[in-house]
Amino acid sequence: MRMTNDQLEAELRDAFAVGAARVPVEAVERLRRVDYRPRVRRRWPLTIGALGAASGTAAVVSVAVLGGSQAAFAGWRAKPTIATAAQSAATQVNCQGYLATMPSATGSWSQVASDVRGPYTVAIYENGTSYATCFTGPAFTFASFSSASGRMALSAGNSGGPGSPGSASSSTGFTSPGGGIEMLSVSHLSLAGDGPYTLAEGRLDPTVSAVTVVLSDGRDVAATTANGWFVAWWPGGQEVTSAQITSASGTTTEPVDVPTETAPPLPPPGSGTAVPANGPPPSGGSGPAAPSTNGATR
Amino acid sequence: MSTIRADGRRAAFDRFVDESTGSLLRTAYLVTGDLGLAEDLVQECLFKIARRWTRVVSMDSPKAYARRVLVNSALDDSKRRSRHRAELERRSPSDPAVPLWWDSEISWGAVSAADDRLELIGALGELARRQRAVLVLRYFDDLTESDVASVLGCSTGTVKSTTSRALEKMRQLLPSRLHPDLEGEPLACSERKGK
Repeated sequence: MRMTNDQLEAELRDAFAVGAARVPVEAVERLRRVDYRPRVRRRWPLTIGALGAASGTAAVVSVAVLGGSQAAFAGWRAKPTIATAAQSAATQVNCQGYLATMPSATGSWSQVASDVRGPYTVAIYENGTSYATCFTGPAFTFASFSSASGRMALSAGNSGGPGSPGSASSSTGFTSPGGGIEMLSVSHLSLAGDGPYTLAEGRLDPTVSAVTVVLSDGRDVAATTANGWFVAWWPGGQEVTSAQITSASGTTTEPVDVPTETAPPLPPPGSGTAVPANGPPPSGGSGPAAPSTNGATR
Repeated sequence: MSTIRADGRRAAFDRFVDESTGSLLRTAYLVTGDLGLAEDLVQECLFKIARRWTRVVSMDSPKAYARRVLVNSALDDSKRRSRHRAELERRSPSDPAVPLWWDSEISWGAVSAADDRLELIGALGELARRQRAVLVLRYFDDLTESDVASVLGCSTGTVKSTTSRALEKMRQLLPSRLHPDLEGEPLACSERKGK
């Protein structure tokens, strides 16, 4: 019996993902920092020239300029999309360094859910006692950690490096709804250049097969569900007002409780928790930052 | 007005570099196996793109064009060397301290290094660079045969035949895994031949 083409192709995809994960993030960052533009004689406008005079600031300029002309979180979708092999490999690469520095990371981390919306991926990892969330986009990575004592922001960064735009700014804890969803955590965050976004994640009753969250502006956002977890996010700060929960017995709509407490804002990048995107935190800088989100368990 | 357009193009190029560099580098690394060479190729590619950005930015997919420049540079680089020299270099990366990726000690998740899937990775290193490029574009970058043909500047039929030959070579390099029915069953083979 010969191995089928499908089997061989599947193993090749795995092999390439493994090989791609060996590309060090430092190499990517090194190439991003190169100034590729040919020299020109004319003077750049004052705003660009003032910001871009020093080497290494091109990415910051890019973010600042694009912030006014590009749609926030361009490419985001209300329904999850399929990750390419390259995207999966990039997520693995970008998140690995962060996971290794997570506090209490005594057990190995397993990816339990991966929510892909255009160029953005939110991956959830679990190690038995804690879980971590890693949010990656074309030019940023933000990782956070949660244990029984509450969520702790760990690291955030973007292509501009420490101190550049792009930070988690605030988050709020919610109580859980009445059924189907066993734990719900909603975080209000922000990335400079793209603006505010909201992340909802949690655990599901094993019988639940699909979840759609309904936002305060009436929009529906389909969540990714896998291994008893669900995750969804959307640009903006809209609240979750209800959730449509699908199981073998049908779909029900459950109201989501209002927030009960507000946590202090996370420190901005550059204050000890920010690190360059796609790279692990510097040694000795892996301690948790301020508590930000509490996931309430029913 | 033209200044605004130019600034927009600069911003678009910066964003393009931010978004594409990682993907291009991983593709170049998988095709060449050599991280140092892959970095050189990506850098060279982005310099070329920058010089032509005014034209490239108006394309349907600047990234597809960049991938085409990159992969063809990788293949040209291979062609420039003599077969003998290429073979020597295949086992001698630009930085001797960093082995080619298919020769590296690779941890495949929780699987031990002895896992036979590592044979498959090693076999990738035995393919011609063009064959490996086709496989990378098809199974890592998830391109269609038509898109691969566009990247390589050849026909879809050539992509199909190159893919087929590459997969067949993989099978030949992994006989114990990919022909499990033949292993230890010589009689069965003889019987087949006799029929």
